[in-house]
Amino acid sequence: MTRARARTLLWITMLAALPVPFFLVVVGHVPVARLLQLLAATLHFIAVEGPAGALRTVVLLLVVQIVWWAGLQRFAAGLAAAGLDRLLGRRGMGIAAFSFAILMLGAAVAFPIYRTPFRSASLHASLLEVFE
Amino acid sequence: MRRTCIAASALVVVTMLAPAATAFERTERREPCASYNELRSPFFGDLHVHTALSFDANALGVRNLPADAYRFARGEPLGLQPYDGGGEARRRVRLARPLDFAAVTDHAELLGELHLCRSEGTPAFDSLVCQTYRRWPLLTYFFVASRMLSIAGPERYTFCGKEGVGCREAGAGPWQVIRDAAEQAYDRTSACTFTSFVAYEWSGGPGGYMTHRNVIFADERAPRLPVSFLDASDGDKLWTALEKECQGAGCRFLTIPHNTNLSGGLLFESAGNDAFDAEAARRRARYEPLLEILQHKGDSECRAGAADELCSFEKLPFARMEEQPFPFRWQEPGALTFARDILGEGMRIKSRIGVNPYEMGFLAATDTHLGAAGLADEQGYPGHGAGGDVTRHEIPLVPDSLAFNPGGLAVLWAEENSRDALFAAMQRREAYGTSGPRMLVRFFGGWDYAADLCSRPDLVEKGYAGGVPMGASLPAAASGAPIFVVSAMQDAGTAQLPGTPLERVQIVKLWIEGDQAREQVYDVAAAMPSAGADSDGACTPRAGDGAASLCAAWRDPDFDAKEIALYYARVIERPSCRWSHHLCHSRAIDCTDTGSVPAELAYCCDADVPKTIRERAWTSPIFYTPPS
Repeated sequence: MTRARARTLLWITMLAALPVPFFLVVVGHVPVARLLQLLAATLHFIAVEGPAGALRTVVLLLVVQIVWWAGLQRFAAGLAAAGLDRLLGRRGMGIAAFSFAILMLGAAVAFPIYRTPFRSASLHASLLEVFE
Repeated sequence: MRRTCIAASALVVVTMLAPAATAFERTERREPCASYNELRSPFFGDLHVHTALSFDANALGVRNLPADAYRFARGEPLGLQPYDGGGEARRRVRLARPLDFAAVTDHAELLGELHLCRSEGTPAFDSLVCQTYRRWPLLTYFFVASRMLSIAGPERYTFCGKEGVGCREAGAGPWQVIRDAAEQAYDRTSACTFTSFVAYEWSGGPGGYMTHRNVIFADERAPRLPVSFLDASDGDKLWTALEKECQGAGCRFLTIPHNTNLSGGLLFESAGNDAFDAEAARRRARYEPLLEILQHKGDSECRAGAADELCSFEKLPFARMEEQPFPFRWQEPGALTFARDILGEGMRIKSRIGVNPYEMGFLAATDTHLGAAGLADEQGYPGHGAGGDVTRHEIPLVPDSLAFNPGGLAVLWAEENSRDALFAAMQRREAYGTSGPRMLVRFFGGWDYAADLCSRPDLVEKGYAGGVPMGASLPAAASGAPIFVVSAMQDAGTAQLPGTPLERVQIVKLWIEGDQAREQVYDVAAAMPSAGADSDGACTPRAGDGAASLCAAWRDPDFDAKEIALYYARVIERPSCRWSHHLCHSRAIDCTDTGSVPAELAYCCDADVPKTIRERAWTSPIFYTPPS
């Protein structure tokens, strides 16, 4: 596995499953992908009903937080890939990156590690529940 | 000044006097009340209560309906969210003492939208807005409220149909639920144990400021649909629309503005705007005789930092709710946001056109969004049930933002506990508000009261006979200065929640000098506090600290017969534990071991966070007009 591929794998895993704090009048901890889902829903809302009210502000808050966290995670994934490459070599880096992805996703699916106040069901949710 | 025992006896004795001629118009068909007191009795209630029919409460997982709120007001327990999988509430609350009256005042705005989004089988149910609401209620609430309530004449959502008629008409269903609940809760027997009012809240939010009013109907007659901010975008339009609707329905109404501290001054016109002619001012004074001086979102009596040190009480640090999450955006409330400024402005207008449009009395309320009518106790405060909290899912460690409070109660002096009698008391402003405790406060003004009135058992009879009660206007006098008599008894409390003794009684005078409103606070009765009794945060009252009752007959030493003036009384309790500090005690927070203190409760160990408050009551003013 190349370093670039390892970085991409780590980054996508983080985007999909690593809980990050967010603020949208209330606070919570969800993966960046969830923020992307909320952004898509808000844009859909705007397309159907227009942008009146706080929708533009919501979009702005979401975009800023998505860009911030996605950028930070991209940077962290790059550092991690480089470090693993240096420590473990190409093969070891690939195994470590895959292991991280599987462990991260497995834990996220198995445990309610997210705090998502916008759900109508429970406040704490696992990865699949977050996107229900 | 202290004439405790005799004044207290007078307050009690007068409640036992025999009935006399009715002092209010009887319009209802109902059994006469067995208990009638021509010298009037105090009735405690809450005229600001939301339930699950309010969009914001519903978004937070509130399930209680108007009938539940009335049952709670009458003393029954109430379940609160979160709910378990079987639909059982995980929290329960109950009033230590039932209320005498209440009004459920759900928001008229979005009443129909919410109903449609919850009604399976309607086309609206599957609309994007409704689907989003059911999936992400809190987020959708932010979307919807910011669109519908922040500008005049907003466009309703597409699922509401042409010109929003579908949603407006859909409001008839929940409105009927509100009216039916009020009817069922009203005790029409001769026992007269409880009075309910058909009511709702008109809630505008132009520019993020709250221009909110509760609309209270005198009896069961009310418009077919409530007039909302979406139909009438300011007070004038609201009253005009209600006048029109009530012509057909035969109803009578009054409106009560609240959260003036968050209104940006938009609820009131200044004297310089020439907004009033005498007729407009009279109309306003007729429909808006009372102002809610305290509730969950803070105190609206007077500006913090004023010369009056006791104004620093339950003040919000921001001027608009939307500033709350962003401390760098917090602003000071502007002009006409506090009662003293507003009443002063009313007198300025009166000095120009001869009529005071803001001749208002005071009451207080909870503004609970949990359906928990009258739950204003500091101890065990369960929170408010709206805003950005997450009680839908879990019991919060700290139930509310520290800036907020449990709100207060309204007290009406009336002959009996019936709609006719209580509505008449509201109209004549014989009302006062408390920050929660049930103090008993009488306030009379006249020209010829005896100086020893406080020590006489017929204080109340003489008070009425020789002058006017709170809320009224002093009759003209030939000479001299008016005398005001204020008599206060501490809240008797209950075994679990004992009352707190009184510390002092003050009279606040506002007057017009030149073209400027002036104010002065006079201490007229005080119980000397024991040394070191202040604010130790122990939450345990000390024996002998304060007085069970205070009374004073006070003549205004600075009276000028040529100046428009008003006077109201403020009764202050000794310091007692604030809700936030009760929580610290109940959790046995040990500040010597900071590692054991949960982050949410770190405030318990912060010396800058007040541990105690001085609960209080504010009477409606007595107004003085110079002879023309």
